[in-house]
Amino acid sequence: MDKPLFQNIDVDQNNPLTPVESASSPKFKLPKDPKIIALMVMIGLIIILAIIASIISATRKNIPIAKPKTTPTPAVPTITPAEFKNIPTIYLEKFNQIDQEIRTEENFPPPQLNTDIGL
Amino acid sequence: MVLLLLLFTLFSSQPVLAQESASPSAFISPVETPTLTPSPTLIPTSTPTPNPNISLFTQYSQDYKNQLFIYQQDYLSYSEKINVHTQYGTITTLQDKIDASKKVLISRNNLLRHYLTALRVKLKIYQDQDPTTSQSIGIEINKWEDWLNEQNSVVASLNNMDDIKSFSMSFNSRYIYIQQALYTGLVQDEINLRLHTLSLIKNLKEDIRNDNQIKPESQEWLSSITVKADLVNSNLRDAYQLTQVDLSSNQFTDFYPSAKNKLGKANTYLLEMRNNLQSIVTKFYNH
Repeated sequence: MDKPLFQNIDVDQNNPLTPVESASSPKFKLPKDPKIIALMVMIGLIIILAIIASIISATRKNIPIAKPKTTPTPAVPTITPAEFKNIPTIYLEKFNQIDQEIRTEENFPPPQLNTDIGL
Repeated sequence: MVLLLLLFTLFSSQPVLAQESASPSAFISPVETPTLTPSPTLIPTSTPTPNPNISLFTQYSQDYKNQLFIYQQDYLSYSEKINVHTQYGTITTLQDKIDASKKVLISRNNLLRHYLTALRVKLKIYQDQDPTTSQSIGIEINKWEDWLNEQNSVVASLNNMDDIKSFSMSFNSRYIYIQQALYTGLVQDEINLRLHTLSLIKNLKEDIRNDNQIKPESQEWLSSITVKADLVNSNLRDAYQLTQVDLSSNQFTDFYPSAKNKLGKANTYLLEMRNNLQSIVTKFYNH
């Protein structure tokens, strides 16, 4: 005696009358075009670099950076060694003195007075 | 025996340590300590005999800064008393206003006098470059210092607002002359400094000219420096001429920015001369 065919109404896919397709998840296929592969590699590299950069910046924020000391601005700017590197030693002192005077600015401003006092 | 000797040395060294710890170190601040033991690096090598006017100027400019603080405090108090009197208008507030006005007028006189004193001393630093002009400006400045000093006794004798007002008007009529002397002094001081630099450059030029390693072909280059020296002198003369303004209009003409412009040009020429000399020296010493 043949068994009666029936459909399970609770499960859509469990219909013995319809051909059952493979229930496995769709497989990821690697694109065969080398240009697309190269592009994907590049994007991946960029993402990795961005993550590394964000990690580094986040860690650097936590490190206390020593602030440079605020020094008063000198009237005579310091002379860089490059300016003197070619000057012979016998003339160095004289050039140094001249430089100091040339760079000297008058820094003794008169007082700002209120001449309306008592008026 | 050896042990005894060791013990003896140990005990004999103790009083020395005790003396060190008992020294009054609390009275010597860490900042002052280096000045007590001057190191050779502190001695400027370029100027073996430092100009005494430089240290004197530093001292007077510090006095001026202290006086500036006093003036600012008195001025704040004066402004406050004026506001209180405007609000209440009583005899007491009026007296407070008079007292505050007198106080700030005296501190203003002192402030100006301290500035002029410091400037007069500053003018002496390089006055040997132009002694006649520098000394005459110094005498003029000194005259105003004495005048301001006298005014303090005048202010002390004032006892009502009308007298204070007439004093202030009188002061303002003289203040233009003080400004004239003050800015002339500032300009002359910078002229002296630039002249001193020019003399240094001229001395250096002569040294280079007499240097055996510098070839005769550089003589033409050195001659061009003389042309620039004339330009420096010309600009410095112009700067001085700008200070010679007529005060007949009873108004101060602010010549200082124009004079500073001329002084700046002179300084640019000095820098060019210095760079030319460096080019000559480096050319012959590095080849």
